[in-house]
Amino acid sequence: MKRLLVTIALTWIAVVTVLHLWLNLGTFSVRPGSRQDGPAFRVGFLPVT
Amino acid sequence: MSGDGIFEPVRFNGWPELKEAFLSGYLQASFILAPMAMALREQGVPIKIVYLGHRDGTAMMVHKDSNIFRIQELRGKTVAVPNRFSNQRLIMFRALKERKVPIEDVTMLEMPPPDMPATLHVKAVDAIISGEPFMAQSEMDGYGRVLFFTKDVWPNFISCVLAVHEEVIEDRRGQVQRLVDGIAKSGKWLDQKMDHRFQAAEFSAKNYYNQDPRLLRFVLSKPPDRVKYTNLRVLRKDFEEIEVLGREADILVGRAGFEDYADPSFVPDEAAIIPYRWEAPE
Repeated sequence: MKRLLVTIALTWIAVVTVLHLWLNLGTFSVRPGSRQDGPAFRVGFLPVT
Repeated sequence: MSGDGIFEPVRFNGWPELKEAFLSGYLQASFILAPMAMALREQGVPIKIVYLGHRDGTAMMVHKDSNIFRIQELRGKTVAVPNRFSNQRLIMFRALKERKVPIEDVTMLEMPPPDMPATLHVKAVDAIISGEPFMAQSEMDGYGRVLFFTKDVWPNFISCVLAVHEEVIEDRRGQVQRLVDGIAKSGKWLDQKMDHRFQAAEFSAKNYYNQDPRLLRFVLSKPPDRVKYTNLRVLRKDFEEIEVLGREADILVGRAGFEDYADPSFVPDEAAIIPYRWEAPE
């Protein structure tokens, strides 16, 4: 039982980590000029003059 | 949303959210209201204004059925403004002061620009003032009437500026220069001929603004100088004028001067700017 709980916990942590890296940090992004080419340079804007 | 180069444009729908993202460092740079950038610098946030986003591009609209035909007739009325730290609010101070109308006689209501056309349509406010395309939207949809363009009240009006974190200027100066140069060359391309403006309207409407291209074509052409994208230099006299009005409007305290909040070293020589050579595919 203990082994099962540990396995579930480690699996959960691994899944959340992969999701975080993928969705929030774009680690696995293959877009040209993506973050893999260097740190992000984000420029904020409102669609208004 | 991201571009194909090193720069990633991040769109927001309201100034408070953009400000928080900028303060947190999530954004390395941002187009931001000029008085807001100056106020942040006064509060100790290490940012610098390095370029402008555009000039003019703001209008005040009233309902077409309104009996307001002159600025002084705003006395006793309610006007929606984008933000306490907007130049649109400062232009109200300037315009009303010139016409000897006490600012206390006009109620100003802060409102996100996308919400303003609907609010005017239902006559929940007497007037709205903001950047485009939201003012033009009320005009195109038939219920809004221009009370004034800022170009007629405050020539070469500055609304949005490009602000960059000082740390980014120190560590990534070359990239900041690329960004400024790109804005300068794009601006010259836009102002080169009307067809370029129409091409930009098509592209921007779909990929960045999520707006009807007809609306952006209207903004960029009626009249042609409704918004301008050249002469984007950071000039001391322009900002010192904003400082004076900002102090009168109680949004600036005078703790930061031009050298504190501005860095004009990135501004390219206007005459040497070569517009991009790009045409939309057939």
